[in-house]
Amino acid sequence: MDNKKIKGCVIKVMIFFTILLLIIGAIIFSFTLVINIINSGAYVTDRAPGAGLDMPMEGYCDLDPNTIIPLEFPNIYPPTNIAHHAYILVNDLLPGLWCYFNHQPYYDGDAPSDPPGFPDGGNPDYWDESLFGLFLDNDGTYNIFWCTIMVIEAWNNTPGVSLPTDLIYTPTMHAYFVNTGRFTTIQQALQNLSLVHPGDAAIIARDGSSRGLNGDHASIVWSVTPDAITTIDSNAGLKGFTYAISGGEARWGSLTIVGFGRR
Amino acid sequence: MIDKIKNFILKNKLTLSIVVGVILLSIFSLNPASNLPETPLPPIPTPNVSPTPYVGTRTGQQAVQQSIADREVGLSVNKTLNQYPFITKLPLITQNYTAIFDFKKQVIRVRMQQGFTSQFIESDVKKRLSDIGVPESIQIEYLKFNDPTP
Repeated sequence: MDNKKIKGCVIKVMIFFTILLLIIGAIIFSFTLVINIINSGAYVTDRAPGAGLDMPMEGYCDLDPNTIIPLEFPNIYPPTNIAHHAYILVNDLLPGLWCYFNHQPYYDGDAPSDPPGFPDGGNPDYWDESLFGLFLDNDGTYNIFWCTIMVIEAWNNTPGVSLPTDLIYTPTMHAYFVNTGRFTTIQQALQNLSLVHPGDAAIIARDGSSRGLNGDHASIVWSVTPDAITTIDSNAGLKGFTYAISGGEARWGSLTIVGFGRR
Repeated sequence: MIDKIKNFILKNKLTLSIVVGVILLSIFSLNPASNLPETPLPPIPTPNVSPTPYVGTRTGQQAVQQSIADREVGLSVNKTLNQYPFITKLPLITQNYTAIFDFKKQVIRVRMQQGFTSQFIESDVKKRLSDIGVPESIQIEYLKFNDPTP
């Protein structure tokens, strides 16, 4: 075999390896390009920016822990109304545990002050930084801005209104209103909607709940019309719900309003 | 023959190493991972981590119970959102009417303002509902300003 043939053979081998390397390179290029697009957030989501009433996918939190998604409507009530204070609390809620809105930045150990216009002079810590984006299902020993805390803080920061601070569990809050003669049942309310006012505490029950009609969730009434009752909420996935009045009940999905605690 | 190849490689080792080097360099320079800024991956949920238990005097066992209840409510909310993804875009509130979803009757209820009829607003209602993803199979119920609530 002469030198010319060897040279030709080597060139062929080189061309083969060059093509092989280029193919490998193209595969690596495509793979890393896809990974980078995914990581840079340039993928399509169906979340309407600023919707405020949207909820992330269960089991995965892609919301920014420090970005407020505000309510879609303005705070129309004066500071003498409980709903005014509830709005301030709910509007600022950040995503936290389970990606629900249960991190109130003014009720965080790092918060320098109370929310604007809140005179009670105390902002206890209802937040553990380590909870963001977790989906825990154990015994519930968490430190979060529960639905009931929002109700209690909204009430206690409104002039002339007070609510015991130990009504953390919805059935306890429900019982408190019943025992103090300040509870309007949904049946009474639907007979006469003027009994329900913005700022009232709404007691909510979930279909099939072990707590029955004692209530699973508490929120603040935002508005009342002949067709619907709208609430604003903490720690419920969404920041607000519009319960349609129909057939003697006020319903949103599997949630119904049991009644209202009034001032 | 092997000796001849060996001799050829030894004689041209500089040229061959340059060629291989250029190929490798071109592959790495094409790699977008080396050009794009590093984006941190979103936090991965770690389901079995137990955070510090809350020991405040205002909370205790009631807080534990409420956490469990709130979680259950959130999961049921999630189910409803999966079933009715348009629900977060309701109610529709315009100067002429408001539209809500009646969960019990499974219809969209449109309450017209005084002086409006369904013929006047029908096309607008249908367009808006379609825009927010309400399926055409869901019926629309029109109520006049002073009609009683169903």
